[in-house]
Amino acid sequence: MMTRSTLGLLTACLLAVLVSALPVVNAQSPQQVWQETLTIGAVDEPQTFDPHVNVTQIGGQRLYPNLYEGLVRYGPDGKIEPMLATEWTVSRDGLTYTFTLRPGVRFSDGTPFNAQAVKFAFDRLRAIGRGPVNVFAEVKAIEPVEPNAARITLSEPFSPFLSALASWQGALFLSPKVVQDNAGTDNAQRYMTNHTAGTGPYVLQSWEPEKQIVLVRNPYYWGRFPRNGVSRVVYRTVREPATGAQLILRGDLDILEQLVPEFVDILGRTTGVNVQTRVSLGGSYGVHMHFNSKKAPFTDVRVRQALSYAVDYKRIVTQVFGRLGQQARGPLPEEFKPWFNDKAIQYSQDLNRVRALLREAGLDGRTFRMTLGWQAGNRVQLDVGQILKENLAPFGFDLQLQEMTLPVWREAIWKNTFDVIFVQFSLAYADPDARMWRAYHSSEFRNLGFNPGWLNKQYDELLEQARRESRLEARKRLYDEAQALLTREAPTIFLATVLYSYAVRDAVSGLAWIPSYGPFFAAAPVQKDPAGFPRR
Amino acid sequence: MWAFVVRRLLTSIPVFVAIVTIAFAATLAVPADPVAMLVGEDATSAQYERIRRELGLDRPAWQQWLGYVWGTAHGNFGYSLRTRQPVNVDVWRFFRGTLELGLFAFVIAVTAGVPAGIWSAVRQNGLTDHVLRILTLGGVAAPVFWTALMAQWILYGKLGWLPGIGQFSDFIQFTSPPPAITGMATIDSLLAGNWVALRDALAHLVLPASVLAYRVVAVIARMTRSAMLDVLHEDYIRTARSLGIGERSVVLRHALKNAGPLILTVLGIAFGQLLQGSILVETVFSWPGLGLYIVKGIVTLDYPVVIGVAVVISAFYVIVNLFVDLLYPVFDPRIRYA
Repeated sequence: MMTRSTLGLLTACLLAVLVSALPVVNAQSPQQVWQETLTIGAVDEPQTFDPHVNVTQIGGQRLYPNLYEGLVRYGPDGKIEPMLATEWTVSRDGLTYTFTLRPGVRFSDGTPFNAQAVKFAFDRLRAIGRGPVNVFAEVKAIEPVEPNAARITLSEPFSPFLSALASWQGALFLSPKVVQDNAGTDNAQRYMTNHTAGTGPYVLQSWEPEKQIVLVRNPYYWGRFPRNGVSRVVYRTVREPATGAQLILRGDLDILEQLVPEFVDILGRTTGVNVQTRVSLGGSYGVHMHFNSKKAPFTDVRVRQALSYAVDYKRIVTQVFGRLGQQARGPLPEEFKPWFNDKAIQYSQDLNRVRALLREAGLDGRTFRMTLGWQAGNRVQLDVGQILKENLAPFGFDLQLQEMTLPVWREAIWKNTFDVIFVQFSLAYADPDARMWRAYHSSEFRNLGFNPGWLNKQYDELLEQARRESRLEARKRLYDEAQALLTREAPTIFLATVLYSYAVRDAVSGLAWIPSYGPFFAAAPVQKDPAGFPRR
Repeated sequence: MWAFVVRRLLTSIPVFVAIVTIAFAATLAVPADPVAMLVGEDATSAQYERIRRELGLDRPAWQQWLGYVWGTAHGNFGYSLRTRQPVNVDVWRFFRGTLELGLFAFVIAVTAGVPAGIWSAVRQNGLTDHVLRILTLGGVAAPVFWTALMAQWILYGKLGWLPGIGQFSDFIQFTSPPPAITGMATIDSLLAGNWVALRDALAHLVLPASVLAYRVVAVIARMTRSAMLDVLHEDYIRTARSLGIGERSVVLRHALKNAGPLILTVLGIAFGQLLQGSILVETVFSWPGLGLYIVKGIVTLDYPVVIGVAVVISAFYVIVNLFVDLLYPVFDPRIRYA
């Protein structure tokens, strides 16, 4: 028999449940909360919100453009447009850039944005020595120019400079006052890990790691919000794709980032959800496999070419990527105009050529056992790897797939200890220099570099000249030649370039897609249709 | 009894030193470099060395080890290499998630498992016994990842009866969140008298806690069953029955009390298991806990995090076990601590 105290406890619980079922008198309704909040499902989190420390693409996607802004930005066609600077001039020798700054801009704490703030940002970047500091290594001096302009002087001409400034890596400007007030012992790095003080339309309200990031409106934002714009942006960390799919189906997410190929079709067929598949230069667009050109037998270009002919590219594209991918032609994606060289070599499976080249190299009949490193958790690389294994086996190349966590993968590349390894290409800034220099210039064959062991003087000269050259046609010729050289020398098997797929609820409007950036969901212009409120 | 407690705590000290050593050695053994991940792709050697020095990773291994042992002794696990936040703060934050989930899962597991075990024992080899055994076995056999996704898909995706992820709905979170007293959604709502938030928090807890509980229900049920069976065959049970004591009283008062210590041990182990956090459940329900935190720390070679979490989990095992030992005399007066 139940004791009296147990009975009392049960009654109390029952009453509590009943009371909670009563309608609540509240300032806002669930619909209002829904309408003013843009909820984005993310598969990963940034490391920090400090623009002078962050080195990850995902961090960049969070910082720009909702929180921090740059002097200039990319337009939908890739052209450089004003942002915090309204106009600019470049000196003839390519060393001096003068930016007229936009008047009336303030940081989220009310401090005015001016030339001193520009200088402060670059100074802090250099002092900390992390983040995108080496992208702006050529910046020598910044001086204010009356009445409201900043002059940046470079030590050497660097043609991609404006492009770098427009990318997420150029969104460097934060409030000097906030930094100084919270300097601590590390120049405010600890504080700025989870606080923001930028000119962007939103401010970081809270970051609960592995759970969510909440942004609210910047009271001092210089731009305009639409009448029914979103005043709150929530990034929900949803690492499991199946969970993310259900959340957007039920309307608990407005946007779901980075769809895996399996869900593209399923979500595309659902009413209320819109699947977009787009060119993304800023996201990861290429899946390729590096040879270690310093290790036999890959020191011989014929062997590299031979294996490039052994791969069944069609099968890889259709089986692994479906509608999202196409075969690559060199290191740049086809949509990257005008830089893409459509005359560069594109390999296709040709088994006779494989044998001929291997025979020429004296390797006919030999067998090799080697490890193919793939990045942990990357199912796509695993699937591609298994096809490559089948393609290469008949010619005596036995590939052992090895899963590598990110630190291990990274170290295998800069210590040059790998045999063959997967890489994903993205463009840190929308200039061919960004990828072609970082992956293949010989200076990148070093501690922490990304050159897979292929050192070529001719290639180096082409890229160095292209950095100094300011005329478009001349640069295009140089990069065309570099791409042709790269595909001939085949230090990498260029497998596929992929589109970026994401899902949006129909109720969301105002979301723009800028290919040069990729998945940088700018929330300021967004509005939600009240009729789209998910009914339970 | 206090002497017992003190002795137990003192003998735990070498255990903790061993934990720190093993965790540290394990992270050292991984052939990769945490600093490379932190400095980014363009860093020069000079920058790399600087960061390495700043993080104290250039000191010889034994010196770092000593630092960790010393820090642990003072309850200070240093700063995360990745986030630069004090590990203590982060561990506590993630542990709250695990604790809340673990507590509810424990309540569910005990409420389901112990009666199931008793029932199985009383109706030994009957239909009830077999059915219950198969059901609870599912919890051990089915991968927790699959169970979590299935539960989420059916009860949230298809039927919409329960929420999918998180601790609160957006509406509660942004209009009337309870004050963060303990950091645990249900407790805070209760303390603040915010019944709407409490209901919301409980609704969000049901799925992940049930999935987590399902894993340990089988163990609890089976151990309860076998403990009860042992006791029910004892002579004093026959005596009690022959004295005319009702069957219910025989089972619940006499048999259960004697089976108590064994069941309690299992419950203690189960609770410890639940407190470890489950990265798979946490991932599916976006319920950040120790599981997610330590895996992230391991993958990024964040030594202070790995050591900190290893020590915290071990500490809880030690405390729970101590607690279980102290509860024995309640069930069996023959057990005494001198």
